[in-house]
Amino acid sequence: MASATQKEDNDKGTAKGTPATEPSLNMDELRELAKLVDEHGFTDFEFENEKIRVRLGKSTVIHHAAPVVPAHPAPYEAPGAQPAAPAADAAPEADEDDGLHQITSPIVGTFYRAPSPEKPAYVKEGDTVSPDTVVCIVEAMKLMNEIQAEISGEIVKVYVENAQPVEFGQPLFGIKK
Amino acid sequence: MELRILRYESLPSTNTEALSQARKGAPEGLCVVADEQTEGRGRHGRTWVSAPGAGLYFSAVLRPKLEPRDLPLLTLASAVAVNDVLKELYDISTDIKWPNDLLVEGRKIAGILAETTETEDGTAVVVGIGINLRSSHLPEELASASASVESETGAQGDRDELLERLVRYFFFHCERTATASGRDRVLKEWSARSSYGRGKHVRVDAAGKRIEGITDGIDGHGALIIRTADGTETVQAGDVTALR
Repeated sequence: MASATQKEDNDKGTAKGTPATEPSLNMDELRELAKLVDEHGFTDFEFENEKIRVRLGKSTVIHHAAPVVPAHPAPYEAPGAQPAAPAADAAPEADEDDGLHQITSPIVGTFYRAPSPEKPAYVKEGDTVSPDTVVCIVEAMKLMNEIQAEISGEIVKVYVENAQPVEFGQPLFGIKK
Repeated sequence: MELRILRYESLPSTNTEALSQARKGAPEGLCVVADEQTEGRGRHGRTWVSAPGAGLYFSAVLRPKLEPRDLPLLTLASAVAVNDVLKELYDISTDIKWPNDLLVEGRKIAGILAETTETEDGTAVVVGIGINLRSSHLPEELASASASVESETGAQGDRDELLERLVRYFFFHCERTATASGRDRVLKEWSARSSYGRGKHVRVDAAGKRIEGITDGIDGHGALIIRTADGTETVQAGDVTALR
């Protein structure tokens, strides 16, 4: 077992039928759980309720988000204007930022730079992409939307941090053609 | 639409296989079914335990003519389909936890994960559905967090019968999203089958922040509206936990 994380929070909520007992597992129980998971050959196990989240994994990598490239720290806002519903299609607009071509989000959702927290980012600054290169995922309602570069060039900017909400039409990447 | 079902004893992931088939040009209606997944996936890299024979692991290729913002409705339509199949075949009543987990008294009996991919024939959507048929192979500590057809009825059910009904209901509900009135119906039917849609005290861990409040319906694209102490939040993605 390479990692076992445990998280508690202060919520008062209790599931239906769940007695309001002490929320945490003690170390013996955790060891017992780890043993069970191991015996049954799982490489990953996650359990969560209102009070506790336990994740047990055998992978040796660190469970952490994909490397986050510091980009524009402020949330996206159209400068000086309320973001109106864009009339045009989600077609990426060029020349907004130093002549860069921008890949924009086709939907409202959550931006992910990697297929899963343990995997490397699809692309990083300096990478060369072709039109069919997958650059990120935008999730909405458990639909993972794969976003392609749609043009060839070099990724020079990543505008959004991993796991942040994005709006329709919001620039995600800047590409130098 | 031509229905075609590819059955496998074991696959790393039915979604991965269906995505690969879609990229090679598979039309809408192609289904991939496996008795076992060795790398079954849940949301964002989580594992879906898929031991041999313990569940129905199903993925289907869709090629919907929908705007990108309407595509997530397919996952809500899928949840309605699974809810109705479990009710009609086994008399199992499920609650849909937003957006598309199927729960029996808080324990998960089925999960849905959809993924898009760009192909030469346009955007393809692969919807993956995992239904637990038995949980007796799990140690008690793990089994208690999940439900299965066996745990609710005492029998595992006929896999072929389940597959046949699932395929029929799944495509029926997904095809309804093609029209505006059909999309409306999907949203209404989802709401009628979910205690999470309205008036539920929930916590959502979404996109780096935590939201707590009372649910106040879903919007026209299936996003969850939550009334909080500070106002209203609309959630597109995140982990929802019922409080109390």
